[in-house]
Amino acid sequence: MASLAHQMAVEFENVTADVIEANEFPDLSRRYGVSGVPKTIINDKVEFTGAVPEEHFVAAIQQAAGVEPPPVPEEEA
Amino acid sequence: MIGEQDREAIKNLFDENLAEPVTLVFFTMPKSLLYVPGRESCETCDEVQQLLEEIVGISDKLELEIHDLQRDREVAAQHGIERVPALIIHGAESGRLRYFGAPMGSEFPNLIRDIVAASRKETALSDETRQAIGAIRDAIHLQVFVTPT
Repeated sequence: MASLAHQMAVEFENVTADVIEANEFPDLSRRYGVSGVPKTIINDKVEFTGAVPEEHFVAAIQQAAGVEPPPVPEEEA
Repeated sequence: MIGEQDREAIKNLFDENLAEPVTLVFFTMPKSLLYVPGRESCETCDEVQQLLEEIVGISDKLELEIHDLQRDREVAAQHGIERVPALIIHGAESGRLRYFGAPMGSEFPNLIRDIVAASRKETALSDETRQAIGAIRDAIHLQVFVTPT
């Protein structure tokens, strides 16, 4: 997740990506309820724990930004 | 801190891949200032600084800029830095890449890859990701908590 977040910051000027060592900042870890890693927090709104595929990360960012992800095309019968 | 073999591998990677210069902007708190009651200490600052010095020593395209969090308050404020150790990787990237805490252990390879990515402004993101994130105009703040082991 750390690498994906930083890659997004490389490409987009509106992205700030912070990789935080949880043990060194117990105050932040407490504030964000970090009990497992990697834990990802987006705009203090949307969060998930664990490594997820790139498209899930993107969907979480869209959710935090209030963007409706495009509808998933229905499978043809 | 970087072994000879790793140094050689990183040198090859940098020689072949670095394009634009990259500055590692590092915020620290020197040990000598730490014996103040009530002030938090920075356990890993010196170690991280040494690691970064070794990294920038590997390529002419890399530079290390060191700021004391207490003294360089304006610079820290400009970059939104309130805690140390903090590292900003500044090359040709569009957004902001930061590390808080020691980028060591399992995070170290990420740090090296980040430097290359920032230098080339090049990533492995999919086209779908580029379209989706590129369509968002608001600020996006990503915080990823890790524990390097």
